[in-house]
Amino acid sequence: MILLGVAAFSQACTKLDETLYSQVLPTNFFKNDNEFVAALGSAYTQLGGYATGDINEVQEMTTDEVVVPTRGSDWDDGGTQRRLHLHSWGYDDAFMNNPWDFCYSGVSTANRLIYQFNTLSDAAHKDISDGYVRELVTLRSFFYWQLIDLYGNVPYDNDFANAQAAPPQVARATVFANVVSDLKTNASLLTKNVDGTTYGRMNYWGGQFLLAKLYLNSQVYTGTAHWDEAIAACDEIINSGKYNLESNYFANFNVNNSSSSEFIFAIPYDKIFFTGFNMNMATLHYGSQFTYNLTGQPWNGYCTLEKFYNSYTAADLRRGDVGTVTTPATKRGNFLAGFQFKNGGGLVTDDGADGTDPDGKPLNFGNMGDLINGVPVPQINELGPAAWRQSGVRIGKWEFEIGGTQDMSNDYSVFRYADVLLMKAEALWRKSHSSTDAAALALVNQIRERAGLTDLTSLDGALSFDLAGGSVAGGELFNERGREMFAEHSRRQDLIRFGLWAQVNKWVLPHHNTTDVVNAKTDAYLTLYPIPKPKMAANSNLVQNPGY
Amino acid sequence: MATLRNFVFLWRRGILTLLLFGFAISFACAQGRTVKGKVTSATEGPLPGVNIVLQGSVQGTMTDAGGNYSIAVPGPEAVLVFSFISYTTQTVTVGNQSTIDVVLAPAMSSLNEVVVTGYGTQKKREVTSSITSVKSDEFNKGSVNNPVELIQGKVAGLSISKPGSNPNGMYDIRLRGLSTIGANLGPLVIIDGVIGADLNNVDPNDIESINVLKDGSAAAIYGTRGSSGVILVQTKKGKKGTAVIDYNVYVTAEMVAKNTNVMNAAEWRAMSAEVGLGTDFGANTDWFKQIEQTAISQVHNISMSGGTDKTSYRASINYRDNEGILITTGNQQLNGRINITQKALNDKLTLDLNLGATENNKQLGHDAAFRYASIYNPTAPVTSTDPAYTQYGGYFQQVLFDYYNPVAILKLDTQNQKDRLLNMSVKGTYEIVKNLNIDAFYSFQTSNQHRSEYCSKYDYWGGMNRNGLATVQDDNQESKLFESTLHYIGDVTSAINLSVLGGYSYQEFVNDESYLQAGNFLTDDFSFNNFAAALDWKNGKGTVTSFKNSNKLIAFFGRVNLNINSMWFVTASARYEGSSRFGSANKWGMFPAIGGGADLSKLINLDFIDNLKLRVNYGITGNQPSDSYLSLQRLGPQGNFYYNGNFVFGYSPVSNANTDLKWEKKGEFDAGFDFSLFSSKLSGSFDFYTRITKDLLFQYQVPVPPNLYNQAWLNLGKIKSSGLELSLNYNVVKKGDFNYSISLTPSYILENTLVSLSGTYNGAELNYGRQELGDMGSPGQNGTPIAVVQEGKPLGQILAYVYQGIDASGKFIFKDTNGDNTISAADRVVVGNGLPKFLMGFGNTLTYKNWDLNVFFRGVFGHDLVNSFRAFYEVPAYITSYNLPKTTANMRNADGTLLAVTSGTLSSKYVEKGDFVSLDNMALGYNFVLPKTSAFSKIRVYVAGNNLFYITKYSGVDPNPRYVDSDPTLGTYNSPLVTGIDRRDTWFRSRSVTFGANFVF
Repeated sequence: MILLGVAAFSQACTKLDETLYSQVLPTNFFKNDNEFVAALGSAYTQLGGYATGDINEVQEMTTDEVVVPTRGSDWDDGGTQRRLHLHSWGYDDAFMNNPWDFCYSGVSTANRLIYQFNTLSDAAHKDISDGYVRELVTLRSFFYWQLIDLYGNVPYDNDFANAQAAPPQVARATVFANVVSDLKTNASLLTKNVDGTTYGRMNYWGGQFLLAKLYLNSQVYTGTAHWDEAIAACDEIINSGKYNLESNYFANFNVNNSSSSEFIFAIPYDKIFFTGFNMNMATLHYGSQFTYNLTGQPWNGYCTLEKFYNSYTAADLRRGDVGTVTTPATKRGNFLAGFQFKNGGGLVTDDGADGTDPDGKPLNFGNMGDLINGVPVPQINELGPAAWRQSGVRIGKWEFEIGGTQDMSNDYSVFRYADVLLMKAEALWRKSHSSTDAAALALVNQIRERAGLTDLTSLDGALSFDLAGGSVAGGELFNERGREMFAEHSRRQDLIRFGLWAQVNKWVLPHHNTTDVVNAKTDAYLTLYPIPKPKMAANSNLVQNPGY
Repeated sequence: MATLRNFVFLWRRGILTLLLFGFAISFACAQGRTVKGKVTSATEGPLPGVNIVLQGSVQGTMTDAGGNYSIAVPGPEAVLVFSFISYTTQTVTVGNQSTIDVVLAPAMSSLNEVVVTGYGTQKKREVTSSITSVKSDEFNKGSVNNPVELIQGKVAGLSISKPGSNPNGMYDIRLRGLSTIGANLGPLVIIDGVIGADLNNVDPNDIESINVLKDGSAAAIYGTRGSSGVILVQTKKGKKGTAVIDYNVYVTAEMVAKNTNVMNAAEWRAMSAEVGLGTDFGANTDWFKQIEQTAISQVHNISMSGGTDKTSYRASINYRDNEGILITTGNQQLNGRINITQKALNDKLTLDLNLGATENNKQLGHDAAFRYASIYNPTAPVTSTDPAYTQYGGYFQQVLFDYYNPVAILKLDTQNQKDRLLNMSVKGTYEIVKNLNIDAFYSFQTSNQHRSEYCSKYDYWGGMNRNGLATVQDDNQESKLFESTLHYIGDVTSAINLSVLGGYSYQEFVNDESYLQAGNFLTDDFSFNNFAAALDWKNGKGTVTSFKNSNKLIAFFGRVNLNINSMWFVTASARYEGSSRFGSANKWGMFPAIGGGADLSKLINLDFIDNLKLRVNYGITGNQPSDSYLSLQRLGPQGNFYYNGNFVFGYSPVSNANTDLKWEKKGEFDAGFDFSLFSSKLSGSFDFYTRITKDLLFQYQVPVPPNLYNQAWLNLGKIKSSGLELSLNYNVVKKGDFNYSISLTPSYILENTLVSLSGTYNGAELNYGRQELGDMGSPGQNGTPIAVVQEGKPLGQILAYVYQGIDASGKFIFKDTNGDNTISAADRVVVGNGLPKFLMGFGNTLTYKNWDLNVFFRGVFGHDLVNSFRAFYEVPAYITSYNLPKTTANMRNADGTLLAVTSGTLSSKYVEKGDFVSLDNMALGYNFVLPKTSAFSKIRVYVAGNNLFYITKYSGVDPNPRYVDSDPTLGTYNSPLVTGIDRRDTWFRSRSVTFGANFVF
């Protein structure tokens, strides 16, 4: 018996190799075309966290567009959401760390794949792999753009094979120059086709859009303006005739929106195959589950700010109408306001409604029962602690599917044609310094006409969050950008580019049901986020941004 | 070398002693007077045949049938030595007495007791390390469903904790505090030689003894998995002689001992009216009454055993039918076990065959029912005939965040688990020549957990939104072990006994899991039994996952035991072990140990000392990570990619490579005494240990780039701990039929410090000297850390604001600890520690004639608990949504108005002392006096109580320590760094009463 035992085990008696069953080693991959595609895919799957992940929090919750109130027990979360809104974030808040991970994970994946395509691909696959490498450089540029936008000086190290252990930071302007150069040499060679093969992927036009964004913000990033280059990149897209404004604004935001002629680069979210777009969960009230027959209970989080809501007129097709006690809202809008109804009819009620809430139990987003000059006005006791549970006008921009899951199937446009028009308008205005720049006005009015609004005659005006402050140069252009690009990760850049970031106290309102005065921090250094604490801990070569 | 030199010296001294002894004999010749007397025993009366020797001579005599003796002594300085088998030897100086009556005390078996060590047994007196052996007659009594319950509180330094009374819950076992944070936290379990065996596959009734190897030197023979201690379980075996049938039966009634202290309907109404918030639904519902029950359980155990010269056997069947205190919960377990030993080849070959099988059907219920019953509005009815509630199956429901009718979730959500465990092993031992044995051991273990859940279409908690939701998960674990040892034991010289062991061990493990989830059923009738009927598949919505992994451990080991003159004992062992889980550069590790013991009672001749042994040892043990493949860079399908109109899988890295990943190593020094004093009236042992764990295995965040993935398992960090342990047995009274003895097992942790959690990886410096971990969770406290881990500080620290009182506006005042005039996250400081410092078991055994009484107390001290129920719900404004703790009504300003607190915030106000003493176990038994003609050889009946009361200031439901909690930073569900959190889903505490009988025939 002993001999048998020894014989059975002798071959394996000191071997300790591991056998993998449910994952694969890189050395066993890249054997056929489909594996190349799957590998490329990993560079894009990263984007699932873009629309409503933490990068959305740092781009939107800090602005005059969106806020997460502390509603009773909900969303207090140690004050992190309030700190974002009051520009009082700490360098150890998770909201500072997660966008860094999100972006560098994208950079790192692109670098790894570029290395793998360059080294592992054989002659037969050379053309394919070269194309993929150029596409990956363009996608990587998108992540670097986000990084310099959020954090300023960041590591720029793309040599995968000889990656540095603790890569040092590179000056924001240098990363900017490198990314522009990367785009010029790589994106320009990408396909100009706009069809199913390029949908959801970086093509030539995505590269041009990215250049336009970089140039438009160049003064912020580098101290040097590049308005002509921004205009040229926009013109490249406009003159191509490949993209058009949709006649209906909401064609961009419906559940089935992948055919939109405005999408230059979109994330093809799907409730089953490409999950992570949870706007319905993030913004809707618990009871809204019955309005949309959702398979999960929403989280009662995001809503818009009172002043921002009021920057839309009732005529604005983008605003949407307001539900009353007897009639649900029927017109789609960027917002859900007023009373909410169940899918089969009847008001949605909130048994836990706060005693001081003037609307009582019926669910009423923004407490629209209050009339000012006969017009219903939303009260958004915006921050808390102890905002009313149902308070706040919600984000209704992306259509909520009836019977939807917590993951939405609406595609999310990262680069949209309307933005190209607005970017070009702004660059023209900044060059001309003229509030009546005809070319700029024409572009802005294209957007306004679609929204059912009358044409602007001047780009100046009072700021939407500071109507009492009088007319400001470019004020209407700024307001229009907000109304059109609401909740599309544009507002923080707009506020910084227009020099308005430090005016945060003008959009942060005192609480409606307390007498507290809320003060945000207004220091100049806050236009950059801190280098996150775990990153400082893990890389001693990093230097913290000033002020933190 | 030093050791060898000492050894030679000792050996020479041994010879010298022998020579002196010889001289002494030759001088003892003078004749003096005569001494006589009677030798008796307290229980047996006069003892015949007791040896009486004049110390230092060969002169001696024996007692007669009446216990009387007489002996000639040279003078008053003469010393008489009274010795008798199984009694403690006594020495008496004659002086001027002429009659010396002696009462001999029975020897505590501890002296000659055999303890089980790794790969063998040893006489307790020869053991050089800290091993606690608990025999079946010392086990905890009453309702015991898990083997570890048998020794809870009995082993100094071993903490066995299960907060709440979930019949399907698991125990957290910690030996000597925390020595690892990223690897296996619980001790290695070995059942009848099967390493890594599953305690659930042995019925408590079948256990003969449990031995706990506590220090590094004892555990080092199991090297790699011994860092958190080793628990060796021996099952009962058949004995030579007539066949015995043993039948045990008991019935237990278990009741809730403590509910959360929430308002009743009237109290809720009063507060609701005062605040002007909340809805009165008109009913008066005691939600606890709705979900709780008196749980009746029954246990049957029947075994038969016997043996001849060549064969012995024991077979048993165990049946347990347990109910839980929560309605819809319980389990039914059937277990069978067979042990057969056969001798052959002129008794040179011994074959042992073991077979154990268990099936356990569990009804898991829903832990959250306790939380929802605590916070559900007491004016809400359980059910409603209003058509609006038809969609909820007629159960009342309110649309609020995380708020569900507790009866509805129990009735409409079915969660079952079926566990199947099988173990078979065979061992052959062959005597090659006298004193030299070789053996080969093979065991096969497999376990399967089949978990199934169905949420009804009417289940608002989970099934309604999916129109019925079914889930099935299957986990399979399989392990094969082959071991062979060569063992020599014999006398080298007349003074030196040598035992040498060498061996080889090979073990492989394979695990796999499959998971199915799908919803949207036409009818609830299928439950989780017809997945094809789920419409989810047609919509591409169902979920299917599976995985498989494997790993291997290979080891060579050896041990030498020396017994010199039965006075000096030396043990040295080493295990050289490799694990497939490590990096290619570091697969193998060496785990040596050395220990020495000295029987000081032979050097110090004091009357009251029967035995006094000093032990000193040092050993290195290891730990491997709990997952395979952590050293490899792997790719896996991660999400989808929209490619040319279709979604295809994207493949991405899911780990970083770490070819240096290696063993975590713990070095432990242990010094102790074993003693027996006053004719064995007082016996016990004392230990001091100090241990340092290096190269801690832990998952760190690493920079991307240069790394591909933002986490990596690394060997960084260091933990230091030390402590004291005492084990005492004291025979208080032994008089006639009455016997009373007590046992005490106090243990104290002197230090349990995280020395470092920093280092370098891939050239990058990782600095985790201070980390805030854990998360209170929703409502309102997402992102609120609970624990802080700091280099140079004790493990287990709880982090919170310091509560200072109430301000004029009715809000909490927290201490501005950093003096920056604002209250921010930076003001949170250490306000407690979740790990206990001091553990104590206190046993009392009384016997009188045929009666016996056991009373066992357990105390745990020095730990704090976050009362999360209070921390979330002691908020007056929440009366809108929830039922609240009664204490909330007392949260008032000076003017009597309720506080304006609007959200729960973790502060020192909710961090309470967890110290407690509990009456764990009390049992009164009666053994019937049976006539010689009876068919039975034993009939015993007993009544027992478990967890009868707790003495504690803790206001929550259960003060037992909480050793793990989830940590979102690293995505772990049971992080040992987050401790002391009494979660809202914890089952309430219970007490139980058991009636049982035992028949042997």
